[in-house]
Amino acid sequence: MENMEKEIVLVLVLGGLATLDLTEAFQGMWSQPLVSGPLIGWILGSWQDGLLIGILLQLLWLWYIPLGAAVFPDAGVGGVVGAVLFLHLQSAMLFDFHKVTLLILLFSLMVSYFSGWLTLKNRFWNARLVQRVEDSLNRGKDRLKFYFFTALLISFVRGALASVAGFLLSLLLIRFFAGRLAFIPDNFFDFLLPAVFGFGLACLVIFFGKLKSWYYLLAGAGLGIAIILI
Amino acid sequence: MNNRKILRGLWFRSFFLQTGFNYERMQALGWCWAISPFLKRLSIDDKSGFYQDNLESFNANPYISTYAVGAVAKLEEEKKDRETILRLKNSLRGPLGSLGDNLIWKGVRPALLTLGIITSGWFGWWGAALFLVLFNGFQIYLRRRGLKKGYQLGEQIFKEFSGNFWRKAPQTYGALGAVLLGLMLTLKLAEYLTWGKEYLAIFLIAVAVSVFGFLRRIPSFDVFLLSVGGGLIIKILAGIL
Repeated sequence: MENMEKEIVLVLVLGGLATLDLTEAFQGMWSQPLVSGPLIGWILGSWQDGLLIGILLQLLWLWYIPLGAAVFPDAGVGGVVGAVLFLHLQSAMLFDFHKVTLLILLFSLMVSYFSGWLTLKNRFWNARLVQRVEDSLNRGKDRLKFYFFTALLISFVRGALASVAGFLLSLLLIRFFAGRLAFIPDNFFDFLLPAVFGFGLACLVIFFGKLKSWYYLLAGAGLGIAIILI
Repeated sequence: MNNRKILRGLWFRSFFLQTGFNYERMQALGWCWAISPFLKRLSIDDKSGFYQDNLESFNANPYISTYAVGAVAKLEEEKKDRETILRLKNSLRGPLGSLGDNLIWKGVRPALLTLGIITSGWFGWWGAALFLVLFNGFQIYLRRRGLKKGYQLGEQIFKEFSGNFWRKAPQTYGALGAVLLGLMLTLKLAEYLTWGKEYLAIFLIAVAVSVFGFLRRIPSFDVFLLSVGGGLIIKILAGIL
């Protein structure tokens, strides 16, 4: 139970900060699952496990690009929730790696879509804040700083609450589904890693697999062969 | 306050340009807060007018918005009229959006994340740290360069976008991404070949289905389900055969 409390506090704080990192402030990309995964793993006692789930989650979110006004799944919140779920379930129950990891990936994606939807709502609240800055200016008062920090605080709270709600709900549902799927042997789901890496690599093919870059692709393949041989 | 101190303040505040993002004014709140130190510097009496002007709609890639911040700061300092400043700000929106999105979201981020993922497989969390350091090193450089060039060039800022940097940087990251794609593809093919033909087929079908899905603009969640579904089907077929 003590560990659960620690995990909820971690999800609350990191979920809020990850929301800020993704769009509102700094955008330093620490909230990307590749980084947040091992960070959470290190805090909860196993950075190796955190890194493993971080890489898998990252492959899911390689495709998403937070372009300007577009609404996108919140990779930061999804990454934090996914990593904490993975570390929690690993220590709390009989752990079927492939089965539970598949469920974690699916639920993390859903949480990220939910948080993305909240981002959309948040942007409408922000419009009201800008309006209030103008109204106060018309009344001769400078409230820019106040509403600026209010906008930051609202985003943090939104991310934190979405993360905790997503974490608790996902935990409940994963336990339920993992129990229902218990009769299927775990090795039936061992297609997960090749499928996820295939999905991730397809994103890279779209980004970089251009015909005019064929010599760079060949150079990379040559480097790969050299590494395998060594 | 000297110029250096002011520019450093603008640079730091540029990290918050997206705060309060909304669909009516986009980055207006973050922009206004970022540029507000200029009120003191220029001893502007009409504080309300200055804020109202800077609360006008603005949107650009956040990593290179500093070009606009620097250029507008220069024009404010030169006491240009409001129309000239607003015209420059508005005309920068398009180029700063498309150039920045193309460089960061389609080049730097996926290339460095791939580098991080590959090196994490060899060196553990150092791979993630490498991604973090390289990405932030580049974004800090880009923001600094944007502010400096914007402040130096003022209205002539558009010259910067036809220069060497903006031609070579996307090419460099595109080349790095292509090399890493070739490397990762080879390593994964070799890995799944050792696992067995079944897993190699799952991997290749996931790549093919996902590329097809992305090209057909199918939502990525559905594409992911399709690639996992492909794996499931192959697994069932392998069991039957």
